[in-house]
Amino acid sequence: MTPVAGGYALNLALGFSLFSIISVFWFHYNKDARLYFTAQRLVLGSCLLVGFATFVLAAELINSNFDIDYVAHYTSLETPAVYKLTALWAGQEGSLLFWLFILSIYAGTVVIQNQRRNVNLMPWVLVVLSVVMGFFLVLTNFVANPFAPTDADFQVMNGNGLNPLLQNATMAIHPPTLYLGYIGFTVPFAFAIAALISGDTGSLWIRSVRRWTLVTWMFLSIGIILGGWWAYQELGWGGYWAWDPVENASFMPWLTGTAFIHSILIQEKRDMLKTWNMVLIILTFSLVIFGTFLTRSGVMSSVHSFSASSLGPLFLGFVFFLLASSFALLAWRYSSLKSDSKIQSISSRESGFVFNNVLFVVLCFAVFWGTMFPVLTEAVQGTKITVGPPFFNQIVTPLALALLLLTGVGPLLVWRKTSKTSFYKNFPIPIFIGLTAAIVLIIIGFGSSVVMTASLSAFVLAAIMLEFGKGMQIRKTKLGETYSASLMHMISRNRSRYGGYIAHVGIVIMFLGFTGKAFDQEAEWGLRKGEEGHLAGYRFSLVQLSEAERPNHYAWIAEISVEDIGGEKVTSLHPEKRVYFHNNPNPDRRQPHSELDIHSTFRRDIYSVLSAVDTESGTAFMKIMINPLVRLVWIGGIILVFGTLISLWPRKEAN
Amino acid sequence: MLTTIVLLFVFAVPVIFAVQPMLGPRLTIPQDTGRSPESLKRKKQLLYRQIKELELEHGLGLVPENEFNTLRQELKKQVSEIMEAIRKHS
Repeated sequence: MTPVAGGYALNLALGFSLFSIISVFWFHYNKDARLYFTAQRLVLGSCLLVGFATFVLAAELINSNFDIDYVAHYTSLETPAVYKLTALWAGQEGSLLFWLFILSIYAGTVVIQNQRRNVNLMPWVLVVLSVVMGFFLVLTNFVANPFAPTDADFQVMNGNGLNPLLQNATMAIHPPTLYLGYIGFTVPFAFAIAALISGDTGSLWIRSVRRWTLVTWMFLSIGIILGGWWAYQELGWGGYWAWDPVENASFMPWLTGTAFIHSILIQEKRDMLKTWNMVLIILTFSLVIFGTFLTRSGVMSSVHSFSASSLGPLFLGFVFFLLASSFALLAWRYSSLKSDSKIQSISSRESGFVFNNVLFVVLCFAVFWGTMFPVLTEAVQGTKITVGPPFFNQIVTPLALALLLLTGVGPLLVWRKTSKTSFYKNFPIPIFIGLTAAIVLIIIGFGSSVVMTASLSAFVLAAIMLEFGKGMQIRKTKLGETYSASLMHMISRNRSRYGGYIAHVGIVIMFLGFTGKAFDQEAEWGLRKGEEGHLAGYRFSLVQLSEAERPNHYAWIAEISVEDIGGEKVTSLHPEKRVYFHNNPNPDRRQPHSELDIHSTFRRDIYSVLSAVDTESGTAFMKIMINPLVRLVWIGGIILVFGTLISLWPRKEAN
Repeated sequence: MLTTIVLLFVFAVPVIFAVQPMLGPRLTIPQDTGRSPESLKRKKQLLYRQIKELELEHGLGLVPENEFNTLRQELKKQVSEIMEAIRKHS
């Protein structure tokens, strides 16, 4: 009964979405506010019904109701309870419902926050939210129904179980955060379109969405970083970013979204870049839907993608609809988006922001081109020409370094024009520190890429520290505060500015972590008990190879002792070779999986993978990697999020 | 039976909730002209924030002296106008 109720809830939610659109149009012509309030309530009702349907599917997953095809496909009796719940987003149908669920939370929050506010924009915001919700409701109702019954004429006693790669704690958090990031862009997009339709194209919509955009951007950043963390911990190739199409699909809206959160500052402060901001948010949201198309259409082969389905054309059609209708509205309102202010000098802070935006968009286009190239060549020539990491690294690295440079230059530039006096006042210290770092690194013997990244990082950090120092000095001089008090007060009273700088520090630290990739080392050995291998000044010896049977898998566990060059013990590593569904009578359904063990320090990670086991000879085949500075990537990510949280923290308004 | 009642309730509640405004008398929403007390207070806070930011940026050497004086004067004038409007409302 309840699975059927889940399906009915989705039917009714679709009806609510359609009626809310009709109500708003009716309200537009009739001016009867009852219709507007009804539209609000229809959106809220739709959100509640989607929430109910999600709750029903989650309950059926936990209760192992194999009468539902989705439950039978993605869980089994042996699947641990927490992974039964995470199976909600493991497959196509469930993840579409989960997408809708998060969109419902966002849409519901927008409606509740704006019940009596933003009355010029809100009716059209409701329309956009309902259109997007309606699209996903059509998919879950008619194309990928998560409540579809099992197509079997016998009772299904057990399910297929969850992919072992997804049975990881990070996987319980990574997709929800990524979705929170992806889907959240619906809200600024809805406000932008509402501004275009209503003609209220001033800065009101920007002020309404600034916080939303930052929240969304933060979740997308967390999602991307957690995805890298998961790949590093789980996939066994020793890296965190592979330029996989689905990784790129999340990176592209992040790039345009980052450009957007910078360029709205210019609109707020200088009333400029109004059209550009519209273009950026339209592109960002379209890239979100396009990314979903890449993941779900089956056009790309990726570790992340869902199997081929009929959803591809629908998503592609929706992307074209969004782009065509949005740009048509933009063209209609183009004259009202023109600004009287102009950029007065190439050396102004405004120019710095524009350069930053251009680089982000060019970078996005480069990633888009590299991602789509195999699809385009297959469509045109009939053969798929794959573009691998070397292409991306070659194109992206110089653009990313230019962006890193601008991260340091931006805070030093003056609004309207940076005079010679300002230049000599602001730039010498960061330039000196950057050059000193470069000279020291060249003397030590590092290669050009490391010298470039590290010296630019030093320049940026110096520029940011200088900004903090100047701000603290002002407070100290004016108010007589101590340095620590002035730091705290300065940050708490200018959260947006200094939170942003802290996020930039996080980015710089991540860049330093990326340079470690140039020094990765690896070796592969087949070792028997007592045998040893050597790599990067470490001795790795196999102490023992044991076995264990656990509820949902069988495991071979290698105990590897790691000693340094002086014979001092560094750590013991315990990588495992697992076979999931080992009790399944059909050998084809048993799934092997390597569970890694990593010894992580600030300087380097020692990364171990048990690739295979020869039980007859007792040989453990292993891969060992030495990955320098990886921890900086994660620490940088944490600082980035911390800085964003500071920017987001609500301020206490002064009277 | 109980499940059916619960489910009917689950589906009936959103429907009643959604159509309820239509059962009352016709309403009109005053358009947001930006002159309501809430709107004016929001604008005042925004202007205060802009003045504080301008002062900080001037202190950091990011806004030239002549522009700082002009902008500050302009913002202060806007605050005075808004405070006057708030006073009239109250």
